[in-house]
Amino acid sequence: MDRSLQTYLRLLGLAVFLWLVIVAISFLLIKLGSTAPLVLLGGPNPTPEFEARLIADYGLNQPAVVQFIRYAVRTLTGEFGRSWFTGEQVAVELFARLPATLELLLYAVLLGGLIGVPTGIAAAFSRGSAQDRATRAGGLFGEAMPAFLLALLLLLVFFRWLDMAPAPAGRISIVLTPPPTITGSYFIDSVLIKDSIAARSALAQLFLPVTTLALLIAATLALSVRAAVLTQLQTAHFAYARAQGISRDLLTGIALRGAGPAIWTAANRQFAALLGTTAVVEYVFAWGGVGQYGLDAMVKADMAAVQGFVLLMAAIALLVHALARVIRRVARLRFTRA
Amino acid sequence: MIGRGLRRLASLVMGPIAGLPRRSISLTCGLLILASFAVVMAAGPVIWPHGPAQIDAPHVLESPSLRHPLGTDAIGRDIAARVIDGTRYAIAVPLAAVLLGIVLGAPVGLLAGVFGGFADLLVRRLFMAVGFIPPLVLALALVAAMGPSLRHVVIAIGVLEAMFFARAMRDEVRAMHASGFIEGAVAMGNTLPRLTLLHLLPNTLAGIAGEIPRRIAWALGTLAVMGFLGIGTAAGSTEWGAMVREGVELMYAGQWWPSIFPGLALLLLGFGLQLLAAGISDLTGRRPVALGGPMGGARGGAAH
Repeated sequence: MDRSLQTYLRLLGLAVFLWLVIVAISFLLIKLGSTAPLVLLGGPNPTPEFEARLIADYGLNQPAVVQFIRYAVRTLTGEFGRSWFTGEQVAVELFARLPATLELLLYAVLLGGLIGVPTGIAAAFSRGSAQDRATRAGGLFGEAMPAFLLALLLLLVFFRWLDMAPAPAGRISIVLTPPPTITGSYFIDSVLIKDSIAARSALAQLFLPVTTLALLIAATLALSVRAAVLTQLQTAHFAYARAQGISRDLLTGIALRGAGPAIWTAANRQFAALLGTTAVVEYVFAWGGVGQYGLDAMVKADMAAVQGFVLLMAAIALLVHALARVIRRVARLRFTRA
Repeated sequence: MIGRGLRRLASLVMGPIAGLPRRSISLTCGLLILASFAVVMAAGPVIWPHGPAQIDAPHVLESPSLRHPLGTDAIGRDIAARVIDGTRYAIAVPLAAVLLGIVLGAPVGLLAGVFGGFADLLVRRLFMAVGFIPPLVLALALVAAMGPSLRHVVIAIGVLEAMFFARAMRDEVRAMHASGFIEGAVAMGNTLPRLTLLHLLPNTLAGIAGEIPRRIAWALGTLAVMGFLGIGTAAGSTEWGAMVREGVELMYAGQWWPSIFPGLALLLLGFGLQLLAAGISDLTGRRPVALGGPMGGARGGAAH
């Protein structure tokens, strides 16, 4: 068999195994506690019909193994059950809220990267300087900053005191109708239909949540980039390049090319944790994305919704991880050929 | 005679402490911050004139003043007294969770590391899978599933810490395999239990010492999110996250002190822990796990 095909098959097998473990954890969530699964899935006082349907759907009167297999098969078909709180399909509710989360994440990652990466590089190249020490202290400070506190501090200053930002109430002013869905991003869609009032409102609503998340991303990223570049500066080939007296720009290029994979991997490793932080930020700003939905469900112990949320988060993280690996592989092939 | 003895004793104790700022500023600052929190926890309730539940009715929602330096909340309780009371949660719960994590995680990590092979691979793959679920989300989901109680909060955070410690210790032991340390110990005639408990456990723990404050900080942050959402801690608790939640509506109305001061306490304690961790990493010359240090990845070495 072709070697690369074999590699891909092995990776596919690994992905299937990983997904099974994730589904098993999600399944165990309704089995772990002393509360009966029927209460966790059906709420405090379900109707007899809802109860009967839960028993039938989840196979609650059958052995745990059968229940798990049923659960695994059902989730595979995108069937996450119904929330007892809203009575709606969890999968439908989650997917309706996904664009809101992706919009927030996209801008925050871009902005956080734009701040964090150059800061980290500059700090590494001036190791021990005041700038480097400030970057390190700032990075650690950001790591220690609870996401909800940063969100509240920004709201206090920019919403309450300076009146520069709108109230934390979703993605667009409540007096406006959201634009029709084209890309799912309220801002881009408003621009596409040339609705400047809606676009401005969407942008204003984005201002604080994106800033909160971007600052947190930038802090973590600056520390990882600084560490990765520092490692490169200490290598023998870098010392040799420097001894040759080549220009500073070329030296920077050499260090960055070497640090690239490490930075990429570090950023990728922090992605799953970032999804958790995003959920907290969404919660404070009533963003209406999957994160807020998931946390609301946890507060109410609406376990079907919690399970769906856990599965969706893991699926996104798994997908991003796979994508990051493919990108790294392609990049490596290009670099070795060049 | 006695004077000389005292001076020698003083230099013995103070020597390393006095030399500390020169060796690592972050370590010194971190230790100072943590020590002040310990003092506040121990002495605060005795010294402070107000109690956490004591109501000062004529001074409801008072902004920071001489009488109440951090102000009072909506029913006239002293914020400073409540923040002091909350240090108990902020210190005890994360410590308990990390201890639980080490107790649960260390045996798994040590055994996987010592034996290697299929068991090791299986453990690594399991942890890799769990790593795709955002840790905060999983901790919250566990508490939601088990029901609200402080014990469940400790267990939920502890289980996630256990996964970290198992992974980190496993990687440490594998690194020792490569260095010949284990081969040497076996050749000296160490039996497996002796090798594991006497040689591997202390050495792996020393190797990941810099990570322990960082893990305590994570536990603290997770506890605070639970309090902020109202999962796990009872209403009216002086846990700092819960205090922040209680003051959010007031903050939007302009009375920021009930929310912001407990939040700042969280930030300061977390910062102290991060500084301590960074300082230890500086002294031992090891990079944090999250930055791709020698212990392999947050999701387990060879998988990447």
